[in-house]
Amino acid sequence: MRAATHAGIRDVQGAVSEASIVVRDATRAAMLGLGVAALLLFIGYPLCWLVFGALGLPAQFSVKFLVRAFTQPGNVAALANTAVLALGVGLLSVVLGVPVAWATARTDLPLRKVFHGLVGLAYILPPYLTSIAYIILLGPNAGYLNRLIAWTGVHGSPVNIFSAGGVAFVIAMHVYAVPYFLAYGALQSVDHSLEESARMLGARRWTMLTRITLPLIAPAITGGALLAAINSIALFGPQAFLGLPAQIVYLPTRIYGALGAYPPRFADASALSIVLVLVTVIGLFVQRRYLGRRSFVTVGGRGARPAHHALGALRWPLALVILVAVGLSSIAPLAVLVAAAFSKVWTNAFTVNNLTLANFSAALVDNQIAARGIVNSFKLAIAAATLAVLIGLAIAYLDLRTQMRGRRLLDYLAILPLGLPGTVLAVALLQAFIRFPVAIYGTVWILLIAYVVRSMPIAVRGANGALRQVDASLEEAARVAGASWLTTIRRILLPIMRSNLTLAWLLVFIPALGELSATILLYTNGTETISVAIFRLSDLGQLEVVAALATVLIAVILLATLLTQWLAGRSRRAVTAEATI
Amino acid sequence: MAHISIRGLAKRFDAQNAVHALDLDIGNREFVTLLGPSGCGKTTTLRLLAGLATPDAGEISIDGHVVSSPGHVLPPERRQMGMVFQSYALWPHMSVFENVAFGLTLKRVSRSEVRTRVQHALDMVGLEGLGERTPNALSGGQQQRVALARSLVTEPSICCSTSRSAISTPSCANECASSSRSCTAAPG
Repeated sequence: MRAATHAGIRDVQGAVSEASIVVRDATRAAMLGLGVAALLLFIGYPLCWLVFGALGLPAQFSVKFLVRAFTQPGNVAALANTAVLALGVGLLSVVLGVPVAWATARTDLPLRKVFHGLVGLAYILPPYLTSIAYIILLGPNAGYLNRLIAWTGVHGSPVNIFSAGGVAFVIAMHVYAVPYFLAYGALQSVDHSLEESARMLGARRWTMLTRITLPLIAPAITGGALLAAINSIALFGPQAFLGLPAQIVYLPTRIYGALGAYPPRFADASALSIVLVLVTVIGLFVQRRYLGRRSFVTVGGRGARPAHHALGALRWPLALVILVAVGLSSIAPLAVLVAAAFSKVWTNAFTVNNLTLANFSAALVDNQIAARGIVNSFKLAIAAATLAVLIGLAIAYLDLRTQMRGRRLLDYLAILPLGLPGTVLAVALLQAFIRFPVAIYGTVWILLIAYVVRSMPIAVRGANGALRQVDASLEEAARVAGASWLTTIRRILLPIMRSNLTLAWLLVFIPALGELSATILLYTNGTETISVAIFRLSDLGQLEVVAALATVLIAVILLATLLTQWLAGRSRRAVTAEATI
Repeated sequence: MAHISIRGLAKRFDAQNAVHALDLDIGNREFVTLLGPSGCGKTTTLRLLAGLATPDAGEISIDGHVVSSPGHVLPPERRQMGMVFQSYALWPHMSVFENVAFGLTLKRVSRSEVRTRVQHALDMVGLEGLGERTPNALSGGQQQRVALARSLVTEPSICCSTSRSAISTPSCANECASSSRSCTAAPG
């Protein structure tokens, strides 16, 4: 025993001469330096180029492009269209989202769990796929629903999806999930004694709803409407798929047009991007202030679940109405895409004669762009998710485990992309990386950077949340037990965080797999993705192959989402289990 | 033998002095308990001793070798210490056996020796047969004893605890007395 102790102390003596704390600081400083450098290069530097570009640099220096962004008739029309779109989507999504949220959260509506899941499905379907589905459903003449209407004796095509209304409708069918989930959460946490006391005073149910419940969750509703509106502005897909054929132009599609011109009009695109980013940032700022200041929702400490109102005879009729509304946003688009994917000709009836697997072999093998797109999308999404989670983890670690100066700046830079629509990010990256010193435009790397930057906020939030759940003493105990810093990270920290990090990884992977709005401006021949293949093939009118690609994409997204749900549920259960001990 | 010598030790958090001008000597085979109201710096002192924090002034030496000073801190993994944390800090992704064995596997001790030493440590704290459980499946008292076994299994020359009851259990006191070891406890 004595000998062993002696040996131990000799180890201590031997090590004393090494300046170990300095080494430790150097590792962390290197991490911080690398993080700051990466974020500055990939976020800060491109944003500078956005401003330079808007001023006409490097060819000239002038404010005329910024002035033109607000004065040229084409730009003014795009701005007006965008404003109307945001307003329309904000309104539509509240009108749809909030009543459904009340019905699923606070009544004994049949199938309410199913409806809740379907709203989630509507949100995870990439909106450009919903657009294609609605071309199949409501395209003039050939659309399923239009033919159904014509069959009842109405002449002509009563509903044309290629219209401003069509764009707003399809986008609302996607983003109404935002006010829905916000209102749902708020409604569940409303203290029901507030409602009951109104009933005691003699208020009828309708009076109670409009005078008590709705004002209580008003911040969630307005916040949701604003978020939905901000979201709608950035959604390039529906604006391009449904707006461009009707020559209705919005800010993102206008920017797309400026870059698609020959020669590309970088200055105009940058100036319009600045307008777009200003609108987004102001919207987010207002939403933050509004939600932050006026929160009336009282979370009951007694954990009493709010009572479910009995709908009585209205139960089933209401369920039917909600089924139609929610179904139109989720099951209907999914069903028509899958049906078209297995059809020889999508306009023909879905019969045995019309069934085929040829579209899948075209999408997966024969069609070069599609096959390449699938491979590229998977490679990019996997690489982007891994990189983003690693960077997010480093930032979260510096933020929570060190007192390094500058860690706040890092956190702030990482959240910045929340205010950058994909189109804007692409315009910025394009100008920064088309020239010396990092000329990577035209390679797959610029797409990877775009995906990593877009997912930085989710990755940092995810890693931050995961690290917060791990008490620092677990790492300290490992250090005292003799593990080095790196061994502690590898054997203690990462294994404990594994399921939460996988969750963050999936949350980045899912949107990256189908990313369109930045990709469409950054891809070149050879770096096409699934979304680009869908965009180009639908331009060529090959809707069946497009539907097959969409089916593959949706299948993967759904699988990944189910995995996410399962992981999230498991980590919640683990936390509860820990709390009960 | 292990002689701990603390001279003029100070640690501040923002404007607050956690430890200020502390002088303390702990001899070989001594059992020292730090007493005081909460927030008086007991845990901070032990964290400084373990190398988990950097002092703002003063120094800590073990057997005449400086291990902590403001510009130079020997990292905790090189100090050959044992520590029981107030929260026990048991790793939830490892079994009880793996928790206790962790420090030994890092020292590249042979598999059979790890097995016997972990079994011995678990027997000592009265947890024989519970090695395959996960820490979450144990009671609070059992968790505490796992933490104790984990801190003693590597036969450290210094053992400290920020948890009062852990270090004052008879098995720990015996273990400290029977080996050449300094024990420091800072009751939570």
